[in-house]
Amino acid sequence: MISTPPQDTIEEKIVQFLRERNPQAIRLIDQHYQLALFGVIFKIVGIQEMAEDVWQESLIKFWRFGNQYDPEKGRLFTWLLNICRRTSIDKIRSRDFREQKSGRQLEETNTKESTISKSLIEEPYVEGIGIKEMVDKLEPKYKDLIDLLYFRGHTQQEAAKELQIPLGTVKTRIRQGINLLRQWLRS
Amino acid sequence: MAEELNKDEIRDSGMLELYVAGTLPEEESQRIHQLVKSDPDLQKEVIEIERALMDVSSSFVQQKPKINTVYQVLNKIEEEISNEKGEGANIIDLLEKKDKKDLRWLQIAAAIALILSFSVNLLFYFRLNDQQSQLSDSQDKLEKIQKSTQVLLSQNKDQKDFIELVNGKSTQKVELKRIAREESNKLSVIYNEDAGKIALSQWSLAELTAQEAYQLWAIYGKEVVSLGVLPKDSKGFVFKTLDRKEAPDAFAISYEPNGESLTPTEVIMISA
Repeated sequence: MISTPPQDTIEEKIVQFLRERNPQAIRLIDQHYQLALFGVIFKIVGIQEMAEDVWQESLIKFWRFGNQYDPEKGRLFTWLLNICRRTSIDKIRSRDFREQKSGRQLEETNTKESTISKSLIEEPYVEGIGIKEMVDKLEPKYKDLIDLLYFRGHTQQEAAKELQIPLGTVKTRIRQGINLLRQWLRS
Repeated sequence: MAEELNKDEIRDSGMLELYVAGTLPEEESQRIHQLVKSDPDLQKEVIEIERALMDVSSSFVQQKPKINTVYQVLNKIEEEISNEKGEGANIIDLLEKKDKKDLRWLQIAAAIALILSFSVNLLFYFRLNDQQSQLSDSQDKLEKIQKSTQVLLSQNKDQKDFIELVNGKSTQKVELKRIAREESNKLSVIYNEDAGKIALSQWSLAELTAQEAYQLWAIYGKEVVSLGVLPKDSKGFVFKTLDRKEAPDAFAISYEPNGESLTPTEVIMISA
C-alpha cells in the first residue's frame, strides 16, 4: 500500500515551493487538489474541453501569483478555489465561450453517435458516483445553498437575497447541509 | 464579530463553512483564520469541512482532465523560468570588477545552470512529445471507431429495413432469368406490392469497367421505367420505391456500356 503524507505536510510543501518559485508546487497541486478544483470548474463551465482549458489557466495562475498567497491570511485550498472560481466565471462570461458553446450544441445534435463512441474511449471518473448520489439526496434547500456559496462563490448576502431567506438562515443551513454530508461520508 | 463568539458558537454559526468556501469578507475571513490557527479543535473542524467540500466538488467530475495538461503547464513554466534567467544573465556584465578567478567560477556555474536548464527543457520536450503522440494515437483510434460505428449503424439499418421488407405480408421474391451475357449472372428482386417497394441484396453479376453499368428497370406493358443503376459493390443493399401504384409486369436488368441510360441498351436478365 502506498503511504501518503498528511494533507498539512503537503500544504506546507506546496506553500514552500510556491514561495521558492519551484514548479514542483504545480505538480503537487495537480496531484492533490485536481479532482476537487476541477469539479468546481466543471460544475460552473459545464463542458469538459472548456473546463480543461480553465484548469490549465488556473494552474498557470497558481504559478504566477503563488508568491502572493499568504498562509497567515487564509487556507491554501480556499485560495486555490477562489482562483479556479474566478477563472471559470470569467470564462463563461467571455464571448469566446458563448460562441463555442452554441457551436458545440449544434455539433452535438448532429453527431450523437460520435459522442457515444467517445464516451466509450475516454475513461469516465466513476469514483465520485457514490458521493454524487449523496449530494443528490440532499434537500434542495441545502443543495441550492452549497451551489451558490461553494460553486458560484456568492457572498452570504447575495445568497440570502437570491434564495429570499434571512442572513442567519444562510449560515445555519450551510452548517446543517455540510454536517449532513460529513455524517454520510463518515458512514 | 467572530472575536465575540466562543469556540462552540463559532462552530455552530456556519462561519467556518463560509470561511472554507471563501465567501466571507476578507477582514472576517482573516479573523476566523487566526482563531482557527490558534485552536486545534477548530483546525480539525475546518479540515473536515474542507474534505467534505472537496468530496462534493470531486463528485461532479465526469472525466479527469487530460494527463498532458499539467505537462503543458510545466513546460510553459519552464519557458518562463528560462526567460527570467535570460534577463538575469545581464547581472554578469556588472561583475567586471571581480577578479578573474571568481569570474571563471561564475562562468562555470552559469554553464552548469544552462546545461541543467537545457536538460530539463529537453526532458519536458520528450515527455510532451510522448504525450502528444499518445494523444494523436487516441484521436486516430477514435476517428476510426467513429467511422466504423457509422458504417455498422448504416449497415445495421439497411439490414433491418431489408428483413422488414422480406417479412412483409405482400412480399415476393422475383427471380430474374438470364437472356444474354454470362451464365453465372444471378439476381433476384424482393418486391412488396402493398408498399410499392423493392430491395436487392447479394446479387452476382459479372464485373464491369468503371464506365459500364447494370441498370434496373420496371416494365409496365410496353412502358419501361428506369429504377437506376446498380452500385458496383454487390454486397450492400439497394432500396427503391416505385412511383406507380400498380405492380409492374416484370423487372429487368440491362447492360449499359456508357453508364445510366434513358432506355435499356441490352437487356440481359428479366423476370418471368
